[in-house]
Amino acid sequence: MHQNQRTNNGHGGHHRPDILTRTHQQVTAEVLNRTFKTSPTFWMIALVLALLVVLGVVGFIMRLGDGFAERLPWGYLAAGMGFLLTTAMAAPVVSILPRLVKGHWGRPISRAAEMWSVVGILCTLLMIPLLFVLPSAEGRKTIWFMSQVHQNWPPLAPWGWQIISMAGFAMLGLALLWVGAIPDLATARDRAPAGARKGWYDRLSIGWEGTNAQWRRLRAWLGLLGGLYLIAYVGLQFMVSSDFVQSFVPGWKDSVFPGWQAVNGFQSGLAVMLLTAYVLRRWGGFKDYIFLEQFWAMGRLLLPLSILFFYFWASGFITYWYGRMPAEHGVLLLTQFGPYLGIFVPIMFLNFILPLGLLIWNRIRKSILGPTLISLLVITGTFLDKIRLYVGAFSVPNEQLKNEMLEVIPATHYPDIADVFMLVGVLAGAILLYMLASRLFPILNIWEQKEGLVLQTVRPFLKTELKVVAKPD
Amino acid sequence: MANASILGVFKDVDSAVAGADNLNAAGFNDFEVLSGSPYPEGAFGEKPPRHKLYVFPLIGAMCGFTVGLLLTAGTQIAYPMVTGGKPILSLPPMAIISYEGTMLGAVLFTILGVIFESRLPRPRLGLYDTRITEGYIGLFVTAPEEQIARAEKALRDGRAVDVKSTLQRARARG
Repeated sequence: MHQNQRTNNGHGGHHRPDILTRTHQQVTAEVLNRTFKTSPTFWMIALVLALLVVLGVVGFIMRLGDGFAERLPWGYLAAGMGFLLTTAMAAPVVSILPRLVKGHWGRPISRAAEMWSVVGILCTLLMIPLLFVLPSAEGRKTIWFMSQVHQNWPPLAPWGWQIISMAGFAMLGLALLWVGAIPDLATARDRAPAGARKGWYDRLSIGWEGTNAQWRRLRAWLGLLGGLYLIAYVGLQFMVSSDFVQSFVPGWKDSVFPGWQAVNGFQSGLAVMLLTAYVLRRWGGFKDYIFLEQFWAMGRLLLPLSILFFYFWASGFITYWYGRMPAEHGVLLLTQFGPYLGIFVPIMFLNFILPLGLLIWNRIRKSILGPTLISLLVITGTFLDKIRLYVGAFSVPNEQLKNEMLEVIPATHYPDIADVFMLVGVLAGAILLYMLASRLFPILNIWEQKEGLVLQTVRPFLKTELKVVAKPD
Repeated sequence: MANASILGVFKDVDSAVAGADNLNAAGFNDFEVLSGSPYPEGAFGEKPPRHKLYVFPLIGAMCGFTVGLLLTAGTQIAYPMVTGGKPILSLPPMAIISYEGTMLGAVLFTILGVIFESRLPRPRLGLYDTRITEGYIGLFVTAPEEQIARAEKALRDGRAVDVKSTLQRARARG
């Protein structure tokens, strides 16, 4: 239906702009139809994922048999939590940033991005057992104050603040999703057949009528929640990565590391959204809504973020490499050149060398398949990176925690069957939550699409066509 | 005389603009536009919206700044430590904490302000038409009861496909 179906790139001529050519009624009907009606394939996939979640629970029960005295058995579960925090929970940023800078390309994927915040519920649940293996801050190099004057300052540290931060962040994400969806929930309320679903929409749309004043306040809300989410994400990565990774490795005093994890989060969140957009376009029935423009824009962002991934790593690494004190040597050995060298090298290829080497080419960057395949590499690299960091840090025994340096470098800790079950369950659980959320929230942002219809058009210009975008503010 | 409300429903933006022009010409300048997606402010010739949202961060910032200042000054006075003969109250750290307090206060009060200004949740919908979320435009006027007929004429002359008022609703209820 859109004016130009061409999806490649600048070499066979100027790319003509894609634009949605639906009426308001058609957008409403098509998106809601996909929300209200669920295909048998969807339920089949959901069932398989649910079985995998059960497998994860079985793995967790098996792991419980090991108790909480030792941290090592819980390393892979921590890696699963770290992976979700760095990927799914960073994905809403892809909705927030275009909105803040008034980038129109984000409209078709904003809801799909915000919907990943439902994974916060799973992350909060995953953190609970991990708190049992998180030792007191005493003796560890942590962000918490441990002095003669204040023991365990602030109160509840570290456990209380970790769970409060994670749960608070999850709620912030859900608030962002809900507030951004209120107008669409009202649309669904007006269209849904009578029944339980309509009742839910009625409650969740809290009396939305679409007055000018309500639209203005909605923008204020979204700006505020989006800004807070962005800030809170960096803060949460700082807390989790410093307390669950750095503080377990004696001698690891690197102020760049938490920032590196946040940057890795932005990179991986973008990769998750590239993959999500591809799935929605290819199998979700939204080919006429999600265009090359979205993949191209995200590909352009993925390139500098992949460079930043390397820059942040190098900034932390170079101090240790040149310092080469015994403590620093130990940290490098554990995390990079020792037991986890076998996955450290692929990580560098998957998160930096390959994305950089491929995305610098216009033909790849300005395509739908190119950035999508690269996003798969990045997600895989991030998964390995969390295993390297969390499992590596969890493998340091309690006796070494109070040392100034790693006396003995722990051996590689390979996953057992319970770890594999748990990791599979964690990944399946995240996707299942997302799929279930898509049955309640329209996965495409209806009101932003309609606003796009009002503000965007394609006009002829000399011998070509250009997209004209109105910017009222 | 009590006030009543009236809602004109228009199929497209052009007829809604015509309806809004009629309302303005009839002296009803303070009408509200209802739509299924946001339109640029003033697109229908409605009055510029008023809000007091900026007041909330301002008050929050002042409260936060005051708390930050009192916290730092109070701590230094409660535990006086003379360092190198310098004054007890040291401005640089006070400035940092006061800044953080100012920002925190501004953010918290903005959240409260948005909740307050939104007047949400609303337990029951007022005059409303479900076609609005389908792309129709609503023009909503609140005026004294004796002027409602004039507003209705302005809306119908502007090609409103439907007009609803609280008076009709009250009559229907008997």
